[in-house]
Amino acid sequence: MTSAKSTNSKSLIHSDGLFTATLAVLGGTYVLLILLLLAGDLVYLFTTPVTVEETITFDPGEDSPQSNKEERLLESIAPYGMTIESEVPLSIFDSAKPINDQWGSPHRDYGGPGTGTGGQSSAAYSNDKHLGNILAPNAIDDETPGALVFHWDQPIEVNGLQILAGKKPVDISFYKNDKKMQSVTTPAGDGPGSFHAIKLAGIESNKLKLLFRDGGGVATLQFSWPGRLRSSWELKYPILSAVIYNPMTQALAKPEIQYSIALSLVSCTITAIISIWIAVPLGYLLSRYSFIGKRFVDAILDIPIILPPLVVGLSLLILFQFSPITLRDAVVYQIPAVILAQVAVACAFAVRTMKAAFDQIDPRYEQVALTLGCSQATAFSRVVLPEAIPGILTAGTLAWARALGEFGPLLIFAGATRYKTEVLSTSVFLELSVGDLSAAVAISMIMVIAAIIVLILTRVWGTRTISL
Amino acid sequence: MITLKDISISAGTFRLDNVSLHVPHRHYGILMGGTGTGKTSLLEAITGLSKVTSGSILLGDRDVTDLKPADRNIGYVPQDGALFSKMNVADHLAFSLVARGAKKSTIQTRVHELASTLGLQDHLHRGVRNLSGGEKQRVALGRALASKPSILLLDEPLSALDEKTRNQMYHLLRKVLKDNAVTVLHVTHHITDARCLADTVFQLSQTGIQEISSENIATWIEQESGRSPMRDA
Repeated sequence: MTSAKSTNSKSLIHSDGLFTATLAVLGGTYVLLILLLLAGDLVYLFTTPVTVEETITFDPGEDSPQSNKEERLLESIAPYGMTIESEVPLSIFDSAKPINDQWGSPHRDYGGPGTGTGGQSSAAYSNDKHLGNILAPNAIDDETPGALVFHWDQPIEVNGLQILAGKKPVDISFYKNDKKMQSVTTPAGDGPGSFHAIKLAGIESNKLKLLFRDGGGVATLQFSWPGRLRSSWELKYPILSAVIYNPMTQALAKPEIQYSIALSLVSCTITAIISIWIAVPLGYLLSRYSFIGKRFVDAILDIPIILPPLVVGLSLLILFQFSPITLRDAVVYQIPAVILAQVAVACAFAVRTMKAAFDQIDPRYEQVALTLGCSQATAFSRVVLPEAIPGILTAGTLAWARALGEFGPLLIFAGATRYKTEVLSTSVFLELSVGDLSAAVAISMIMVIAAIIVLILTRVWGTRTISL
Repeated sequence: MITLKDISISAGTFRLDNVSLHVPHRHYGILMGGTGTGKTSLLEAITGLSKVTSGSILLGDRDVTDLKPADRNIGYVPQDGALFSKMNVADHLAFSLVARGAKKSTIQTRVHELASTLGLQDHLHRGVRNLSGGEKQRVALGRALASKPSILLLDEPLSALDEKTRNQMYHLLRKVLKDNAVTVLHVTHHITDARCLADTVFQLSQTGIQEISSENIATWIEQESGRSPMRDA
């Protein structure tokens, strides 16, 4: 009997543990999901490199007493994690003023200094462009073979090359970790100075070898690399560099994003003020008075909360079809539409919050004030309003946050025009629609930060019962 | 003087019919009755916060039945004081004078006068949240008395206080009655309040209102509480 009893109570304790564990797992999963959402964004932001297409034109400027062009070129490409090697000394020359006119560009048929037969207008690979500086594996005064080898620290994708070649073809080979991935050979030219513009479709490699069998050099090299050109101090202080230059700061630096932030801040603030302006009297009315149709009014106020936001936008658009044309032109697809669409939804939340705030204020406050010589208006302004300030601030921040996140109605009623009706949520949409995921995440993070500030403010101002 | 003539109150499902009572000038009237008998409703009717469906209310020789609460010149101390949490003690004492547009100098004199009567001189600039129960009641009393009303209505002002503070408040309330030309109606369900304060007692019940006038009060109190009145102690 005793043992049965003890087993019983033990199993009860056990099942209690199971019960709380179930609660913890169910609740904890969601809390974890929320944290993972934010963490995922952050990790994505700071680890996903921005792939930038770079074009190297081998123009390191004029010689200076300290160093020559070739040394300065190597210095300037070092931030890409890039080096160049050659069996013979590198040389850079300006194709507009070549030592050997055969390698000038454009060809004199096109008004340049070039005389090479491979570049003349009748040749298959005529040289009709200003190519600027050319990097060659040796001083091109003779037509000797030579190779240029480009190395990168991390894999890149070469997208294009502009090459000046001799009569024989140029072999272009791609290596990844010293394993040959692919090679391309330019067609044979008609003579020295033939011009080849080569487009390549993203071959991932970290080594590019150009073998000029019959002289020649490279004018431009285009490649996509997963990184960003860093100045020397950034290599020294990588953390500070990450704080200053990240997708978020890059987004902040864009003028269209700055406009969208400014419009968001201004429109949300105006929306919050309008919402409070409506919510304070309406909340007070609903909290203190009973009147015919109160339940109906109360239900009406739930409509913007329940209704799909998109429908709110569409309804606004339809409503303005019936307004005078001048009013319609001033509002629809203009900034007033942004504010109107935000107020339509955000205000309902402010009214709910204000009603809750007034419900918490003892009506005896006003009653006492009335007996002390106040009219209803002065009792409200001198006694109730000061008591309601935390509620007003909560309602305001809540409306502000709602307005910031508003998207559907804005898209329909205000449009998504850059430098006009673009707010942060629209920016996310616009960036996403052009495939710039990183910028979209960066702008989202700006909104997340704003939301966290709102959360903290409502926690500070609001009481336990009136919060989000 | 407070005179209620056959007043009827109805609020929701609650009804109180044909109640009459009379508190003579400068008397301390105690209104007793169990929970739900309508004591507070009756007080609210006198303040004008709730309407009476019939009958009339006279304060002094004025018929105030249709006057707004602000025009009745009543000092009202609701249950638990209902102090304004965002104001300090001085603001409370000045409130009714400011609301009635009194001069600044008048207000200041009155605030200091009240503070010294009620022993609140050291608390004038304190917020009301951290005051003790007795201090809160004194502030509520001071706020009600500031505009020198001829009628003072107290709704269970002492129910939340401990024994010692309660005794101090009895003395204070008697003193207020002595020093000011007020007629008091004090709602309570504590017989001790009646024993220590009452000139007249009204007992409100489902069947109606029963008055124990000042001549019979000593006997009534002895009967109810088993102890003699100690009003003037």
